[in-house]
Amino acid sequence: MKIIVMGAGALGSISAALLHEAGHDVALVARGSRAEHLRANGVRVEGLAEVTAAVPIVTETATLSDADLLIMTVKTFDTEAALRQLAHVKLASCLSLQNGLMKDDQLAATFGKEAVLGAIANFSGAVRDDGVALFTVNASITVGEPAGGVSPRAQAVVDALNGAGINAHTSADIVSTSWSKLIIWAGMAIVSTLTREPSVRVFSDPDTAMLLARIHREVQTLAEAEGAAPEPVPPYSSAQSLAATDEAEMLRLALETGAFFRENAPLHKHSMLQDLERGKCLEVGETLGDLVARGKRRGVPVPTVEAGYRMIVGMDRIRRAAE
Amino acid sequence: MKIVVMGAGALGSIVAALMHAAGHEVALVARGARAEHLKTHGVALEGLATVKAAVPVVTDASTLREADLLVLTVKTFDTAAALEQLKHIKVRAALSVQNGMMKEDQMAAAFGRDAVLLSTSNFSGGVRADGVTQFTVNLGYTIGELDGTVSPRVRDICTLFEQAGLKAIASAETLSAAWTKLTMWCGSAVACALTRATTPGVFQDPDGLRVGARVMREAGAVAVAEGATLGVVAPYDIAAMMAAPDETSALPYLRQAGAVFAQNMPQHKPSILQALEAGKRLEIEETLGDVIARAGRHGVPVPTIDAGYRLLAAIDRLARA
Repeated sequence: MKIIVMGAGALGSISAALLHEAGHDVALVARGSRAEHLRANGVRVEGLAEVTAAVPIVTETATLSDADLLIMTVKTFDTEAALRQLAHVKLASCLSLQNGLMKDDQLAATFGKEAVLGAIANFSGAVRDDGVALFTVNASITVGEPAGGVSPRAQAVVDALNGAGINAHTSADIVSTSWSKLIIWAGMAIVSTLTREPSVRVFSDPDTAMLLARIHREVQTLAEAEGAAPEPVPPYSSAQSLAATDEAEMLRLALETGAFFRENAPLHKHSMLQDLERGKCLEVGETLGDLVARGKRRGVPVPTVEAGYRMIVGMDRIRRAAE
Repeated sequence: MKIVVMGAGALGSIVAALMHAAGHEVALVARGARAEHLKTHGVALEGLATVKAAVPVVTDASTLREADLLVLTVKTFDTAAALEQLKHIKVRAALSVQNGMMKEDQMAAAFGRDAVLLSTSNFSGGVRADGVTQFTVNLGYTIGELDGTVSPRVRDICTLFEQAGLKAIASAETLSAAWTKLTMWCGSAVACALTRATTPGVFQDPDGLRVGARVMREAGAVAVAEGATLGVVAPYDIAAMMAAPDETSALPYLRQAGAVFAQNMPQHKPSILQALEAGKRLEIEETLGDVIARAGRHGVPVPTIDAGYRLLAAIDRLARA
């Protein structure tokens, strides 16, 4: 398969290296010193997989003409600029491993609705100071047709990923699956980033657990208004709390998730909090900001999400203005 | 006049030093290392007043018998413990410089309702690392009777403060002034503490501004339900923000306040953010928590204050866990 991987952070580096090693014709689009490093040293992955792959590194996207598949891995706030560089490329399919729900509309606007596959990444890693991409989570990449159902091309992408050692599967209702993940992601993003506390603590404190439950309820209601049918994502039983009518039950279910983190991932921090602590830009507009905009369009009140979004986007802007 | 000042932080040190220098018989109740420092070095002020006062410092409040005036200056979360130590004292008039609307009821339970005066302070300072108190803001201490009148004793106490160098205002609108300040305080506290940004930074950012305005309008609705008429607490025109037909129309007033800070105090941070950054306990129960409780009694929705309160309560609890 001829594959373009856009962005050479952790997810881009890992997927490009593993797909290249599996025999695919991969081009990895990178920038600046990261591109120089990868050209000189190859794309090195450690952790859940160990490879050094001599992936062709592209800095000038004008040289790219076509591909079977584009995998977008840039940060959400770089999406528009990245897509402008790729608009001329003829693609059979494209998908994005980014957070949020805006990415598919952005891909469709550039490459046409027919090219777009929905995708959700429960797959992560981090680029170390020495340039090595540390592969830490290989739970799954879920792929499906935005209009629903499982197509041969979605199956082909999943097969390619599995063949490269990246756990992947198809979903016949990728939109609902995306909302299911976003419900959890949005709550943790807001509460973890504003308190600067690890996941175990925000799910265990009664006040933040209540806020998480409220955010879950707001986003669930919005998802349903958009026609999606989100389902609980283990271990986040608080999504089930939406069926609970009283707040005490919502709180109990959120606290149950806290117990899971204490047992299994006591140091886990949400990616937005990690970005904040490292002084990076936050992926807030295309995720939380998009939820606020959708809430407004649908007439679904999302007051807690909106307050959280505004505080985080304001903080991010003020912080960067001060630098 | 016999004056007991409870608490030797910035405000307590300012009141005690100025009153002592004005010739009153002052006892300053302090604790631990702060008490030792003040006993050895006296109570020193710099900034808007330069004073070094050998104020008698008391660590055991049981030695105190009576006071013409008691001024409560401890942090709100220490109020109950402080009043427990003081309730045996025969107090003729009691005032608190604290934030929030709970302080008068708490003092009334300790000293009787007749002793208590309503007040809201707009003076401030900070205790420096060298123990000297920097006196930074002297915009007025508004005082009235609980029933909304201005009595002779209110006038006398204001005169007392004025003569000592602390601006004081006898007012029949003290309840409204206190609510105006608390309304402003809630918006600054939530928007600045959670973003960890300065007052001018937050109130000149389009999103920070909106969070601040939303919180102030929620708190303002509670104030109105409590019978207050909102006014101005410079540079915040809370009355105009509440009178605006919608939130968006209220934003320019808050942006203007942000601009005043940018001009005059570009690094200004509300005290709650300073406390958060210093790892100190936050004054949230008697301020945001109390506003939420009152909102519940009046049926006024305060979703943004509720979210802000819960985030700050968790931050405060987890920092000490």
